[in-house]
Amino acid sequence: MRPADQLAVFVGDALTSGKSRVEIADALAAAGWAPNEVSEAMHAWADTDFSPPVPRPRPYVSARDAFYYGLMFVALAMTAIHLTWLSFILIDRWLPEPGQENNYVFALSSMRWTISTLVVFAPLFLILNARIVRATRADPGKRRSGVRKWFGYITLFLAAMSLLGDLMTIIYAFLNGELAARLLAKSAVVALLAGSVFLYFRQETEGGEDAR
Amino acid sequence: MRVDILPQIVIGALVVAAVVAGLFVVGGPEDGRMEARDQKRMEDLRALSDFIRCVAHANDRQLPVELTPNPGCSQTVRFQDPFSEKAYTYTKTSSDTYQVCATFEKPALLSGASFRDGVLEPSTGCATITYR
Repeated sequence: MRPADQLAVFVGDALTSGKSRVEIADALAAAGWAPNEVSEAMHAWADTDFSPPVPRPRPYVSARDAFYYGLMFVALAMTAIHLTWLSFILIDRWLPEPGQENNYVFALSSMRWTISTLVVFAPLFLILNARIVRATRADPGKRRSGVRKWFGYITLFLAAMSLLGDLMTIIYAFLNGELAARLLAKSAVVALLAGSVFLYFRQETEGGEDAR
Repeated sequence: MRVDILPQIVIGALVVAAVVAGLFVVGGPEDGRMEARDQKRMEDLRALSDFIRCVAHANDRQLPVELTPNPGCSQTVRFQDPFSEKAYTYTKTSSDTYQVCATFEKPALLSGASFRDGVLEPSTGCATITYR
């Protein structure tokens, strides 16, 4: 049993035996539990006079969720990576730099590859996403999915990293005196894409805060 | 417009724009086939150039005047385009330079394609090579 679960069971037992919430919190603090651990354990039980104590909803993990969120996450990652790649090739083509090597043939096969990937994964992401949004609206309890939270926060983390990396590259190029149209265009693509993903998953990870 | 679907709209719009622009640049399957045929022609010209060097080497460093099969050099070298069946042309331009030419379908993609001791001129489809 995890310490947090052990604690929640203890609080449940103590409430059943008629102790007040203040008494229980004091006893836990005296035993050396930190304030956030105490409040989390108390929060696991609804603050009502009903007996036996009523548990609050807990996060759950399901294989079905892992399948859908895993697939959606992979589809989003593939879409983002290949969209960035394709945009960079197009920008290199439209904003050539003097003395640029000719690598058209290589670029053409890369472009065909990225287009194929986008044609498969972008619709998959949008469809799965629409499905998940509909399911969550119909049943807000789905917001408590542990898998959903993990995928949400991992994506948020990656999007934040890309945005920070983007900013870093712009500052570096600016100091190097290289801030050209091409770099600005590429940074704009990354910012727009990572920004959308960030915004989206921030909305997604909001709510369902009763689940810890 | 609802804010909660804005990111999906942005991602979808970016994908559609990039894919359309990409297809505009790369063209359809027929463009791909043209490029593949041109690549084959490039390989043939390189092999032909190696063949000519081999012949010259065997003949006391004298470049041949015209293309003739040589049993001492590559037996598999092609003297004509396998797709259009048009002969590749060979011209001795001086005692130590020569040209090999082919008709390419998308010559612009081949600009600056390199040969051993030579370079291809896309507008003519000819590679001028120095024999050392």
